[in-house]
Parts: sequence; structure tokens; C-alpha cells
Amino acid sequence: MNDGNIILSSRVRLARNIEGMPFRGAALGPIQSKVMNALHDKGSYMLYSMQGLNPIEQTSYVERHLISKELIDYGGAAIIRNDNKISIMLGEEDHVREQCILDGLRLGEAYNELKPIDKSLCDALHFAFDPDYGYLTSCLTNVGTGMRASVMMFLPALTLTDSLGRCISGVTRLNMAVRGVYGEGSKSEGYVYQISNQKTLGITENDIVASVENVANHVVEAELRAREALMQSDPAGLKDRILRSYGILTNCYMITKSEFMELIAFVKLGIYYNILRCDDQTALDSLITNIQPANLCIYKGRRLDGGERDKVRASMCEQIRKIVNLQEV
Amino acid sequence: MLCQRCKKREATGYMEKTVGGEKTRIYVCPECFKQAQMEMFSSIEDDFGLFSGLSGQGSRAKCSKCGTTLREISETCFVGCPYCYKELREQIKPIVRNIQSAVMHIGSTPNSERSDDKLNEIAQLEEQLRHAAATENYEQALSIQARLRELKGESK
Repeated sequence: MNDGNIILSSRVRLARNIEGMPFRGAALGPIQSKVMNALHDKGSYMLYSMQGLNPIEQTSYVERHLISKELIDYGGAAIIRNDNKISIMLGEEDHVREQCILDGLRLGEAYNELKPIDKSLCDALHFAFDPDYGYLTSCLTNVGTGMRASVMMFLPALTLTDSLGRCISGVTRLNMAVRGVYGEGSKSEGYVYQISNQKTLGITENDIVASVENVANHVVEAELRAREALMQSDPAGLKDRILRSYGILTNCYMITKSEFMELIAFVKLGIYYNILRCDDQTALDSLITNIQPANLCIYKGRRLDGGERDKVRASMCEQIRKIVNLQEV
Repeated sequence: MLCQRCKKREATGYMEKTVGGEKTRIYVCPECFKQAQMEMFSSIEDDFGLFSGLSGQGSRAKCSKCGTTLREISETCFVGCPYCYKELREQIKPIVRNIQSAVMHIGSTPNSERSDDKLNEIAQLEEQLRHAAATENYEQALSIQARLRELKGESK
């Protein structure tokens, strides 16, 4: 069944700190090897120190959602599993931030993946814990479980039908936060939003997972209704916009990231409405990550200025021809 | 008209002050208006606000390990070190309650996945609450809800 690819990914993050160390400015160098040792039987991991990466490499990890922008500012380090599903940030706002990111709506699975890792790290590092306040964190907004469960959602129809504001205020009333694609303070791009829990104390981890999944499912229903309304209100106009978007993406010489994100959103809508046919969803998702500025530079193996990036991006759009086609009627 | 506070800049608005039960108007410039608001806010904070239960320590209370003050915590929501939570336990409670609507952790612990006793009681009470609601025993439902709030450390 075509589920509209509304829920793009699920992420669970646990914030932890080491007993006896100040939250900010602690020398975390010695704990890097402790973390690596604790993870030796939990898969293959690589350590990346922010100081050892150039700005393009750093940003490419943000674009792939493996680290936060703040980790770069704090000059911390990241330990990333080779399947890119688990990453552990050291020296961000908290000493340790463990995260698991999976495709689709799989928050429970993501939390279960993190549990044994959290246990090993806790044994090795002795996390600060208080029977009343739970896991102690740098910011009071994370104390308790230290858990942030978020889902990344593609919501073009809610946005285009001006229903998103109402939807956001409903979600906010349920103690959830709606943010842009790269987390706190970031803007939405390509109609993609993140919904996450705000409450971390006085609630169990499983209840956080259940409540975010519940809200996400309601938002999916609202988006599906909005997609129906969008098609009913102007079918010809919508079909025209979808086909024009596909046409431009597959026939351009230069394209900015924001134009790409806008047009690809309509191509994805076209796939949902069966106007277009996608033969390889994974390749399409990878393309959206790969055309981001820093990843383009990594792909080309050198620094590119804005104009060069737009040309390389346009040439990469050639792939769309191979994976997305007009639906035969 | 000249600002009646700084007596330098042009007044663009007025504030009302009640002295001895009588309302008086003071015409002020934008800078003095902002300044007066800040002063008023901090005096309210000290007198009645977040720091009211500090038995004379007020917002000057601080962590003896890292030096982070209660005022800094209340203004930024950022805590200095794990020890702040111990030393300023009671003082930060209202701030935590304000942010989280709860003051008691009921999730997993480093030693076990869950704090079992408390969670078992919560699960039992929730079941009883469902039963009480289904049988329209509202009095019992209310008392179960109160106990649940207590266990979860939630404010009413």
C-alpha cells in the first residue's frame, strides 16, 4: 500500500553525564577510549574528533543527521557505528548523547537498539543519576529519562492547505515540540518537520515512545486527509505542478538546494498520487541527502562554491530520470 | 515632555505606580521603561517568585562545587554539574516542576531497566482507575488519580 512516505525516520536520543564532572568544559579526551572499549562487542565503530575534521566533513555529518550542529560548536567527538544507525556524541551539551536513527516509524525498535549500548556505557563511565531526578543533565528540559524521541515527517499537503498551524498547535498541546529538519532552531526544508516529546521527567521511556508514535500517527492521518483535499480542490493545477517539478528537475543545468527541495517534494507527492512511479525509494532518499552542500563537496572530493554546487547538483538530478518515471496509464 | 526618571530623554509613554493607595503617572522614555520593567521583574522574583521557599538564601544560593547560582539556573535552565542537583535539590524543584510538570523520575535506572516497585504500583493503580471509571465510581477514581499524581510527582 502507498503510505505516502510521510514518516521518514525515527530517532531516539539519550542524554547522559558522568558523575563528578562539570557539565561544561570537562576534559572528555580520556573517556573516548573508555567508550570505544565499552562498545567493542556492540558492532564496528569509528571515532571522529571534530578537531580532526574539516568544516565540510563536519557539516556532511550534520546533513546525514549523525551529529548535531552544536557538537561542532562544542568541539566534541562522535563515535559512529558503520551502519550509520547508532552515533554517540561526546562533549555536546551533555557529556554523552547516544542516538539511534532508523527509517520509518520505529521508535520502540530504536530505543531497544540503544538499551544495551546505554547499559555498557553506564557500567564503564558511571552516569550521574539521582533517585528523584533520574539521569542528571546539563539542561533541566532533559532531566529524568534524558530521552528525546523524534520522528521526521514529510508534510507537504498540511503546509499547502494552510492546516499545519492548526496541526502544530494541537501537537504542542500534547506536550510535543515541532521543529525544522535539523533540530532546535532550524527551519523546515522541503516540507519536512520533526516532532518530539518535550517532557522527559515523570514519564517512562516506553510511555514517551508510545506518546510520540501516537501523535505521529494522528499527524499522518491529518496529512492524508489534507492530500485528499489538495487533490480535490484543484486536480489539474496540482498535476501540472507535479509534472513541471519533475520536468525542471530532470532538465536543469543549475539548481539551488532550496529549489531542489521544493521541486522534489512535488515529485514525492506525484509518486503518492500515482502520477509518477518510483522504482527505487532508497536511491531517491539517498539523492536528497547527497545533494546537500557539504555532501556534494565530499562527492566531488573538493570545496565547491555556490555556483559550482548548483551545477553538480543539477547533474546529479539525472538520476531522477532513472528512478522516477511517468506512471503509465 | 522630558522623561521623569532620567530627566534626559524625551518621554514617549507612562507607567502607573501605586503609592499609599494612590495611583500616580510617571512619564518615561523607552529606555527607562525597559529598565523599570526589569527592576520590577527581579524584585517580584526575589520577593514572591521562584525563590520564595529559600529561607533567606534567595537567588544567591549556589552550588559549592561549581559555583553555579540558583538565579543562573532559573534564568537559563542550565545546571552547572551533577552536584547542583543534590545541593540545590529543593530550590530547583519549582523550576523543574514548571518545565516538566513533574518532579519525580519513574523511568529506567542504571541498575535496572525500570524502578519496578513504583512502576508496578502505577500499573496497578491505572488498571484500578480504568475499572473505577468503567463502573462510574468517580469518588474512587478521584482518589486513585491523586495517588497516581503523587507517585508520578506531577503537579495538579
